[in-house]
Amino acid sequence: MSTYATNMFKGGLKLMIDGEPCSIIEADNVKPGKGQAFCRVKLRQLKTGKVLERTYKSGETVEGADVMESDMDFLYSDAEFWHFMEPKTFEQHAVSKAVMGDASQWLSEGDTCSVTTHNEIPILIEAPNFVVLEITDTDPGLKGDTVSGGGKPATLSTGAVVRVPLFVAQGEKIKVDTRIGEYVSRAKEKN
Amino acid sequence: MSHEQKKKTNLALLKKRAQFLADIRAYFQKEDVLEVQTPVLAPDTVTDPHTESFPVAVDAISESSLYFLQTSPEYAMKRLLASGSGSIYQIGSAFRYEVAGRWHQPEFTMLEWYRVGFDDKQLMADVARLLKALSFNAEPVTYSYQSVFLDHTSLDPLIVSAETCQAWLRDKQANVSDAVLALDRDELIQYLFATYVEVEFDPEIPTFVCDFPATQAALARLDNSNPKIAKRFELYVDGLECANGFYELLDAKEQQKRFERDQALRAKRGLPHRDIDPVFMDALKKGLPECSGVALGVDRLLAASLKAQRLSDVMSLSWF
Repeated sequence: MSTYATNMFKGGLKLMIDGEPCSIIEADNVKPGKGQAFCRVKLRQLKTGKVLERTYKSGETVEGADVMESDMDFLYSDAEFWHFMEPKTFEQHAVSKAVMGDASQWLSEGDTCSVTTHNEIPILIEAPNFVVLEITDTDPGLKGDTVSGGGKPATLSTGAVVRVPLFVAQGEKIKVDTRIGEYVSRAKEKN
Repeated sequence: MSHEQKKKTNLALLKKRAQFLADIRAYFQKEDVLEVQTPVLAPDTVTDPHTESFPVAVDAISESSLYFLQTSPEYAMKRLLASGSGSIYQIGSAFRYEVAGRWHQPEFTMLEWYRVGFDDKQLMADVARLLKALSFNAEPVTYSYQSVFLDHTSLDPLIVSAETCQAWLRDKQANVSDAVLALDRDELIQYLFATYVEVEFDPEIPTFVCDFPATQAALARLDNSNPKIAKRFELYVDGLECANGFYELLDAKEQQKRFERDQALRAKRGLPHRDIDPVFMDALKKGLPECSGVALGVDRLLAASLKAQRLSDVMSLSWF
């Protein structure tokens, strides 16, 4: 496994910290005018998103994390796992609900999403920023209502629930921003 | 890694920087402190084991083969003080052989000044007045190194042992690396200060830390009533260490001892040997007037003033 000295630290570098793969958010050299130089690092734990802060002695080395990010196709889910395939190698990966996290509520079969693997095992699934999903259940809306106002909850084909404007009806397809879990617009046909 | 090609001349920045320098000069003119210039290239340099100098080959023009780019104008300015200059200041380039980063450049602009007859507390008040003149309007706060360290770690930096620091760290962090555990006592204290103390300073308020542990005295005199304390202070602005000042040590014998300790530490760590600057020592022996001096990173202070995101953003040009 490769190791990295503090002078190679930069945003995006993947390191093993306390046995967990992490990505550097920022790294700053701290050199007191009179004293030992350090490198102060802010990292994100890839599995949990938790932000860590660490200080290293300048020149110290830290083990790199064999982390890859690639696009994979979502095939289907069964009772236990979500199944993905690498489009180039056709290699398949089964991902547990715990690793799926939030992404599980946005994916439809055939969607392509970003999968982060550590030692070739998926540890983080990111849904596309925008997905188009069909509303399977919502209260009938009022005619002539516009985007303003409170809106109403709507259940989508994946089971996710988002707030939609009153004029949006069951059976319609809508575009959702998965990063904030919010309705964006009605989807045009063939979207 | 050169930003040079990417960076376009930013006229607005050039003007702001020029005004900043003009404001500094106006302050010292008003205070009747004399501007001086001393050589940046000199035959000797600092012995400090944590500060590396750029060696420059001069064998073609001098009997000596190696000169050094100065890490600060301190020794040269003290020679002027010893020869009766009175209070003086200098704005110029200083060089440190260090990895560049967001807040580090191997070449940077340093403001250094000495006030004859001032002690460290009077000089801190002088620094505070300069900050006001440069439109840092928040009233600065002052902590002693011991009290602020105790506040954030509950360890007393004047007496704590390396072992206690290590135990405290192990308790605080799951996996403390071997490299950190191998730091010596003073470096461990610096590690704790950098990791748990200075990050807690309010970025909006200039923060002085004074009365450093005697083991980090450098060129400062020790407190008459408490030999565990050195009359040294630092200034933090916007979370960045911007200045370091001393109530200057006048005792040439004591200074010689500290330099020899530096040399021994350098040898132990396999760092290049540095001679003790004989001309500086002569000036010290001849006699430095009672004075305090401080070095201030101009680029860092300007960056804080302009809310810049990196040092190179406030430099007219930079190579690193």
